[in-house]
Amino acid sequence: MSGEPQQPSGHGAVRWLVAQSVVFGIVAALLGVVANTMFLEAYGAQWLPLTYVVIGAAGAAVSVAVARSARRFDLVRIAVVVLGATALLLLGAWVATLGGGGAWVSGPLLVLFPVLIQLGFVFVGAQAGRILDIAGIKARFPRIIAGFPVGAVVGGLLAAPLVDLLGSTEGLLLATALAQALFTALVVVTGIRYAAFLAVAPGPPPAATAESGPDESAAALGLRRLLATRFVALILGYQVLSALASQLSDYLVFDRAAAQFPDADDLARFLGGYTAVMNVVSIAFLVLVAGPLMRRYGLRLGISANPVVLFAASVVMLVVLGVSGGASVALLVAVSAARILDIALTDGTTRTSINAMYQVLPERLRLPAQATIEGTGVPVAISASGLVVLALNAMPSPLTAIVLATVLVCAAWVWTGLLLHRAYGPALVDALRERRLLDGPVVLGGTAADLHTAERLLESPDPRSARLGLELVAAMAAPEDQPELAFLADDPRPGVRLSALHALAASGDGGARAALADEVRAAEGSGDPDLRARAALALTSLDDVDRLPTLGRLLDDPSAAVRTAALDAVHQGDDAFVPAVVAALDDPGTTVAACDAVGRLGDAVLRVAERVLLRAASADPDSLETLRAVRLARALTTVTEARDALLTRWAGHPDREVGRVVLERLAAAGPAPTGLAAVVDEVVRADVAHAIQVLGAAVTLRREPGTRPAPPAGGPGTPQPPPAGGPPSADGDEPLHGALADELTLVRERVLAALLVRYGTDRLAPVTAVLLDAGRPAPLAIEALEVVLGATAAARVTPVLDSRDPPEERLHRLLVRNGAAAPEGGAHAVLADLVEDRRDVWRSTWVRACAVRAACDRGIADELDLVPAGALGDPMVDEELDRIL
Amino acid sequence: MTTVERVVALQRVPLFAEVPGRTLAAVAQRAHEVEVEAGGLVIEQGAVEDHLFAVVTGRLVARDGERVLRELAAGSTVGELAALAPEPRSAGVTALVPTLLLRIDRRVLDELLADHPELARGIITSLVRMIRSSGHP
Repeated sequence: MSGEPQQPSGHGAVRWLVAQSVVFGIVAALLGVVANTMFLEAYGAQWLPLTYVVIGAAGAAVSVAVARSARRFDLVRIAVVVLGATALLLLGAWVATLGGGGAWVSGPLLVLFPVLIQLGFVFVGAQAGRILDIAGIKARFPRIIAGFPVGAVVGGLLAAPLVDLLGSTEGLLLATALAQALFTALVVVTGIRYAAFLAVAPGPPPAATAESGPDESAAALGLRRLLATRFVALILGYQVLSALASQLSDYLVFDRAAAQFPDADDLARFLGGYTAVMNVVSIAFLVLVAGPLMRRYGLRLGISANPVVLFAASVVMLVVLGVSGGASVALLVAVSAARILDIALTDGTTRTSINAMYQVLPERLRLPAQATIEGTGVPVAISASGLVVLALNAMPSPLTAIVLATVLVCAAWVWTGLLLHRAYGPALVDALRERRLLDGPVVLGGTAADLHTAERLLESPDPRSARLGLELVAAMAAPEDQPELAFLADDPRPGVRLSALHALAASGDGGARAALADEVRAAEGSGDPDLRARAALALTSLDDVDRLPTLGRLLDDPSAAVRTAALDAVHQGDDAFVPAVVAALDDPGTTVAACDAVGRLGDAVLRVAERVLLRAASADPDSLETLRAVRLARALTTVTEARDALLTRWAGHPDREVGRVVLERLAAAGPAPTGLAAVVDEVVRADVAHAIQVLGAAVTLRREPGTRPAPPAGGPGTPQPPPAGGPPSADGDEPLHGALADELTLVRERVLAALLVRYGTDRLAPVTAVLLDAGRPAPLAIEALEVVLGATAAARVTPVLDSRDPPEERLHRLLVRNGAAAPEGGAHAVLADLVEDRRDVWRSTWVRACAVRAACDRGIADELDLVPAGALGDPMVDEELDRIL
Repeated sequence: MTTVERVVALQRVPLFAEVPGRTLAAVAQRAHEVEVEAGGLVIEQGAVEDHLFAVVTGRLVARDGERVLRELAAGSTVGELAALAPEPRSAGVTALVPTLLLRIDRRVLDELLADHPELARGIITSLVRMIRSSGHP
């Protein structure tokens, strides 16, 4: 089992994160009111663009500090320090304004406002990213973010009474500081409750390089490399363009509103109504629409909706501007609608999608990268928007220029969104690939040190060490080893001579080959099986007329070790040995070597393979014929057109185990050609239907338990822990539940193999590798599957592949997503179906034996037709039938 | 015991816990039941054998000479090393109470590993656990 903590159910954690989001919204609303009012009152609007520029610098500085801290401290500690320090700053600002002075604090506060908003979203998003998996983020993050506009509405409504209560606008600073302290406290509590996910210090870097030095430098290097990757650069570009477009559309609203309502009271009334509508639309969208939309259409919608809608809205602005003019109410309505849609989509889909995308990044670099992108990119974009507006305002038609600039920025945003979505799938697959530890093969016999080791092993009195030394000698092939090998070729021990001559012959020494042939002839008749095995191995380097008869005799040697070595010497073109090699598959002592030999024989084995697969199709399940077919199909490793044609014919083999191996062999780097794709699609459909049968049976038996209670929830696909103490029980439904779990595991393996064939190993191998490894959390792999297959196709198979949910839920999802009907009947009907198997769908003697046992223990066996089970003649089933009799 | 009962017994053993029942059925069918009375000898120290035992019910004790190495309860295995690489038994094993065992020969284990090489990981894990429990770091 993995040592990683299990993801919580989510509801409790989501409540705490929603609470943070609400309080965060209140802080933002109060701070926005007090900072803007104080600044405009003291300095006027002309100095606002300057604050935009300062925001960029301050945001970058703060985000760099947070990103650096993230390499050394856990998320909660950083959030608490940043948010707590901000609360103290706000309190200090309030103290500075006591007595009527301190208007200067409004400047820093106005700069703090957007930086704090970005950091707040980073902290809330990062906590969600740690506590929820990627599916949880897509489903629940909109609800979490919905807390922010709710808090903003509450903060806006509270502002006026608070000013009355506290005596001045500056008094709001005290309320803001208290709200910020509450936000900090909520982060502390969440950190304590979910410490297993949040209080985890950053792990070590994946691989320290010589030049990277200490961990700190390695982490910085890792972050720099990460930020330089195309995927992260696209996220940064997407977020910068998002902020730029939002800031420009925001400016247009205020600009057009000021032009439309010259009277301050009218303007305030409009802005009040506009803000209310904006928040209500945002909340409604977040609560009612965003979650289901994200679940159904995934990140494709999440990434593209906002830029596409804002681009369309900006084009509408341009048209309205041309038709109705800049002073028209229609333009004000158009820019306001655009901004409202932008806010709703930013909070509802964009933030959720970007947060989900950060899950692809390595966990130790996720927060630094997020802090850098959000904390630097967005403030820099705000600065840039200030400079753009200042520059465009100096042009002859500033309004047209700004609307046009908005259209262009949105077009670039749409394009970046498209690129980002395309990059997401490969980035996900790469992430899964990097998270698996794949060790390369160990190559021996390549260095002088290996030869020295071999000589020491040859001197050892322990025969096992000497044997290892001989193997190492035989593996030596480097030119610098030749003199030493020539010396060993004259060794008095025949085994050493054989191994040395074998190595020399393998490296192309013609003289050594002739001497080796003599040694092989002499060793073949030796009474020492070790020497005969060495002789057999040496046949790989010989091609003289004696090779074939010698190999034939050694393939028939009484020693399994010699037969194994002889099988290792079989190579392409040795067609005469096909029967001997195929027969060796049945012998457990030679199975592995025989499989390798079958692979080397290539197309020469196909005729036999066809016969074996055909026999297995009509043989009893779990019989020797099916076992032989499994071994032979697995051994067909040489890829040729003829082999693929044969395997394609048998991709839907009636025996599921044989079919699985055939599918595994068919997997290639690229997607399947059309004909094979159709066959594989049919296989997947049949397997999904079988999974429904299996889950239906398991759910029914659990709902109507026999005399002994059913195993605890977790169901098929979930390994059950043994009970504490007491003898093992084979009573009741327990073995049958285990057999159904095995059956579901087999279906899962078959579907994964079929998907690999259908979509290619390049795109899916890392995904299926993670999904096959039950000990690992699979959310990211499921997400990658959705990206590669498409949401609809993935949804049809994910309940088969994802065993985290209880069987009832998996069954329900399979039925809904595949438009299938629920299996009918109660436990009696299920057991009758399993025992009688009249439709020949179960095809498993193991399942049948367990079902007979369960029926017997339930006392209903005499109500079932046991004749088909008895006719199988399977000893395992017969034992259970005998219990009934 | 029927094959189903044997499979269930073997699935309680960590060595075979990950093996599907349908695969384990072939192993179970070729396993031999061994009943031992209290005090009865299961493994003689120094004997050269190539099979392992899975404890179905009862309790065993492994001794190196007079020194008690460990006690084994239901769900344990004993003699795995000899089943993988036949050598003289490094310890003697006797039953503490009436005990039921399943004996699995090396040939059966070889066949299982040949068809399911992925099971080698479970065996390595089991051996590492055994080495650690014997005091190695």
